[in-house]
Amino acid sequence: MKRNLYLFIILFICTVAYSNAEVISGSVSDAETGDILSGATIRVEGTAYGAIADRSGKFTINLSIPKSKITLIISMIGYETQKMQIEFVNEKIDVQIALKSQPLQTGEVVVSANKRVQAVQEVPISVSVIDKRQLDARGVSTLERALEYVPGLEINQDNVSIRGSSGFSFGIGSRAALLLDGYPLLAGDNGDMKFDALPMFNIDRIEIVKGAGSALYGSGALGGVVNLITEQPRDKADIRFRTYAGLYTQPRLKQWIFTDDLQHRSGLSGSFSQKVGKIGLLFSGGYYNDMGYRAYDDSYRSSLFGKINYDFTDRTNLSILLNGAFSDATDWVYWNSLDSATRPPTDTDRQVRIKSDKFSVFGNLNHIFNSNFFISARTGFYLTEYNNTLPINDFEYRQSKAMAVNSEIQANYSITARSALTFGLNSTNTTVNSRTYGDQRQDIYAAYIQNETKLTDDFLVTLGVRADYEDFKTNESNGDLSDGELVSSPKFGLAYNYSPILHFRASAGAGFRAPSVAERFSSVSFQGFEVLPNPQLKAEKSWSFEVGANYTLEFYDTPIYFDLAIFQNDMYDLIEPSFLSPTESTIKFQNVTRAKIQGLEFAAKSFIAGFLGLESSFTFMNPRNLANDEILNYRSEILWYNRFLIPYGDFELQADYRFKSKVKNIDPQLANLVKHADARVDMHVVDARLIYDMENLTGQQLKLTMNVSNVFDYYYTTMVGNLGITRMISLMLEAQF
Amino acid sequence: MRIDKLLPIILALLLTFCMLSCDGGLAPKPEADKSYLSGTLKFVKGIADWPPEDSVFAVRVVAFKKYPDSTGIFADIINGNAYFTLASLPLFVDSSRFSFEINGTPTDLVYIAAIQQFDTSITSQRVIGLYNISDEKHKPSTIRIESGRHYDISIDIDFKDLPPMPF
Repeated sequence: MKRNLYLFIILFICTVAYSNAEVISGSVSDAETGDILSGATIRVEGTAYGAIADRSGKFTINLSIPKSKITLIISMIGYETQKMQIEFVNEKIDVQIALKSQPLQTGEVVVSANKRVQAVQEVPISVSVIDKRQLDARGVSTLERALEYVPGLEINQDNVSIRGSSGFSFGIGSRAALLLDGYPLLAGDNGDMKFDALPMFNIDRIEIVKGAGSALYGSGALGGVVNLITEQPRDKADIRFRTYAGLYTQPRLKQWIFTDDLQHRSGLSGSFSQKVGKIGLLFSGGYYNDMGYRAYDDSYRSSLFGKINYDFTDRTNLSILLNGAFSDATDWVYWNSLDSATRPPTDTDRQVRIKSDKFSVFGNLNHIFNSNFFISARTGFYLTEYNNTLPINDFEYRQSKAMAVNSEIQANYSITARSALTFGLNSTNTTVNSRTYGDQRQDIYAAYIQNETKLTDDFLVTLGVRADYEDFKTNESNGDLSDGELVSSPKFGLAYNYSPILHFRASAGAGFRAPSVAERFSSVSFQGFEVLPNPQLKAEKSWSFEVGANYTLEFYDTPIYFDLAIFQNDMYDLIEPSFLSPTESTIKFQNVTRAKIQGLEFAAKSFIAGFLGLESSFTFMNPRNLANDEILNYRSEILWYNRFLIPYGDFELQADYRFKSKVKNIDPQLANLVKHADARVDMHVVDARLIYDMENLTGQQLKLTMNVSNVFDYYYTTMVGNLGITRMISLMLEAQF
Repeated sequence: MRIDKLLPIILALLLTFCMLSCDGGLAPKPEADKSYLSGTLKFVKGIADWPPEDSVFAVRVVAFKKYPDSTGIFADIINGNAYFTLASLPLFVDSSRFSFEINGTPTDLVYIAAIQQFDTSITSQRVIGLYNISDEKHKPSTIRIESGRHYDISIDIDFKDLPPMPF
C-alpha cells in the first residue's frame, strides 16, 4: 500500500491552482512544397510541454513561462529535426515552422538517455532510434525483428545483446532493460523480455541506449536500455488496419524439407484512435499465426492494447496503458542435427506446447508546476504466466506465475537556465508462484538523482547516481539466504557541440542486474540434467566507458552523417549456468565470469543525389572472458548492418544487408549435447521490400508492401542448433481512414 | 566527378561483395564423407531378463575415444571424449538398433558400451554390455573409424552377467 502512496500524494498535489498560461501556437509545413505537415511533434526543450500538429498542421501549447526565452524542438519522421528559440514579448506567440525533407533521420529527439526530452546531439551516450516509418515498412510484429537492424545489437535467440553484453541463456536474465513508455517490462520470474508481449502496431519509435544505464533505470540496464514509445491518440478519429500473409519457400536442401505443403504466416492488426475533449483514446488488437519454417515450430498469438489519456488541466494529465498478449507455441529447443536442421530431436514429444499470458496495466500522472518544475508519478503491474501442457506430475512439467509491481515518482527541476535536476524514487515488488521456482518474493527499492549543467552554450556535463537495495524472501528451504544487497550506480557524461555539424560526447556509467528469481531458485529436470537453486547469487555489475563524435559532411551538396564511438564494458560476476563438477549432471547458476568488451562502432548515412538513401553501421568488438582469457561465449566480433532506400514516385524500394561474424566460442558442454553444435558460419542476410503508396491511385491512405526476408535463402544459425529464418515472401496491406 | 556518377560503381561493389560473401551458408556434410557407427544390442535372455521397470529410465550406447577413468562416464560425455545416442533406445525388447555419426575421423574408439540409466539423473548409470570381439568376455575391443566408412557392430547384454564398471 505504501508504495502506491506516491500516486495519491501526486493526485492531491495536482489540485494546486496555477497562474495564467502563456500560449505558443503555430503551424508546421514542408519547407520545399509548402504542404501542411500533420503529426509533427513540437516539444519545449527540457520540459514536459509539447503538442502534435493536427490535420491542418496547426498546434497550440499552453504554458506558464516565468522566463522570457524557450527552445522548441520540432520533429517528424522523414524531416530534419529543427530547434527554434522563442522570445516572449506577448503572452501569445504565433510561429510558422518549415521543416526540410530528410528521408533518413539524422537529428532525432530522444527521451530515454536522461528521462527527459533532448536532441540526440546533447546526449553523452550512444543512442539509436528506430522510427515508425522503419517499423511500418518492415511490418514487424515482434520486438526482435525490429531490433535486429540496430547498430551494435545482436538478437541471440531470446536475448538482446547490446555491444556484446549478453550471450545466450534461453532468455533468462536480460542484460538490457526493456521499457514501454518508460515502464519496465522484464518478467518477474525469468527477468526476460517477452518479445511477443509488446504492442508493435502502436509503437511510435524505439530508443536504444547503449552502455550501462542503471544510474537512471536500475536493475537490468547492465548493457543498455530499450525503450518503446507508444503513439499518442490522434485529434480526429483514426482507424488503421494492417494485414499480411506470407509463405516460407521450401529449403534448397532436400533433407531439410519436412512437409510437401508450404508453411505460411499471417496476421491482422487494427486500431482506433481519437481525442474527444480532454480524453484521448487508442485501442488496438491483433491476431497472428506462424506455421514456422521448421517442423514443430508453429505459434499462435493474440494481443490487445489500450491507451487512455486524460488532461485534467493544461498542466496535469493522466495516461493509462493496458496491454495483453496471449500465445500458444511449441517447445522447440534445438535441431535434431544439421542433416535434419528443420526437425527437433527424434525423441521430442510434439504434443507438448507452451501456453503463455502476459498482461500489464500502468498509469502515469504528469503535473507541471511551472516551466522549472514538473513531476511524474507512475505505478502499475506486469503479470506473466506460462506452463507447458505436460501432466502436472510429469518431472518435466514447468509452470510459473509472476507479478511485478513497479512504482516511481520522478521530478525534473531546472535550478537555473543552465542546470537541470532529475531525481526520483522507485520500487519494484515481485511475487512469484511457481512449481519451477517455488513461491518467492523479490523487492527492490531505489533512489536516484542526476544533474545536467551547461557550462557554456555548447558544453553539457551530466552527473548522476542511483542506489538500489534488493532483498528477497522465500518459502522454500533452499539453504542459507544471502543478505539484502545495496548497489550504487554512478554516471558521468560530457557533450560538447564544437560546431553545428560536429559534436563530441564522453560517458562513464555503472550498471547492475539483480539475479532473477529463475536464476536463484530454478529447480528443474531437463533431459537428465538437474538445475539446483542458488539463493546466494549476487548481482552482476558493470562499468561502461565511451567516447564518440558525430559529424555532418557536405560532399557535392550531399550531406553525409558520420558517427564514431569507442567503447569499453567491464563486467563483473556475470551469472552463468555451470556444472557443479565434471562428474555431476547438476547445474547451478553461479557468479563466474569476469569480462571485458572493447570495441568501436562507426555509422554513416546519407541521401545521395536525391534518389538513394544509404545507411551503414560497423561494430567491431573484442569480447574477452578474463577468467579463461578466451573470447566470450556466443558473441560475434563484427556486426555490419546496411540499409538502402530508393524512393521513386509512389514506390519505394528498400533493402537491408546484415553481416555477423561467426560466433567462435560456445559452451563446450552444451556443444557436446547438441548434434553438430559446431555448425556455425558468418551470417549474410539480405531482406528487401517494395512499398507502393496507393493514395494517388485510390484516394485512400492505402499502402501495399511486398516483403522478402532472407532473399538469397542463406542458411545460418541464430544460436546453437537453431537454423535462422529461411526465405519468406509476404504481402502486407495497410489502410488508414 | 559528381557523386551520382559514382553511384553505379558503389552499388556494383556492394553487390559484388555481397554475392561473393554469400555461398549459401550452412549445409550438411556430404553423405560420402560421413562416418557412422551402427549396431545391434542383443538382450541374450530376452524380455524376461530385464530388471524392474522402475529401475530402467533409459538405455544408451556410448563410444569412448579414451578408456573412461575415475572422473566418470558423464564427465567424458560432457567433455567431448565420447559419442553417444542422445535419445534412449527402446526398452524391454529382445534387441534394438542404434546408429550415430562419428566426427573427427580417423579416430579409435577404445571402449564401446551399452549403458543403463536408472532414473532421471543422468549420472545414475551402469554398464550393461560391451563391444567385444576377443575371447575374454568382458574385455572391451577397439575399433578404428576411418573417414567416410560405416561400421556395424553387435553388443550382447546379459543382465545376469554384467561387465565390470570401467574404473
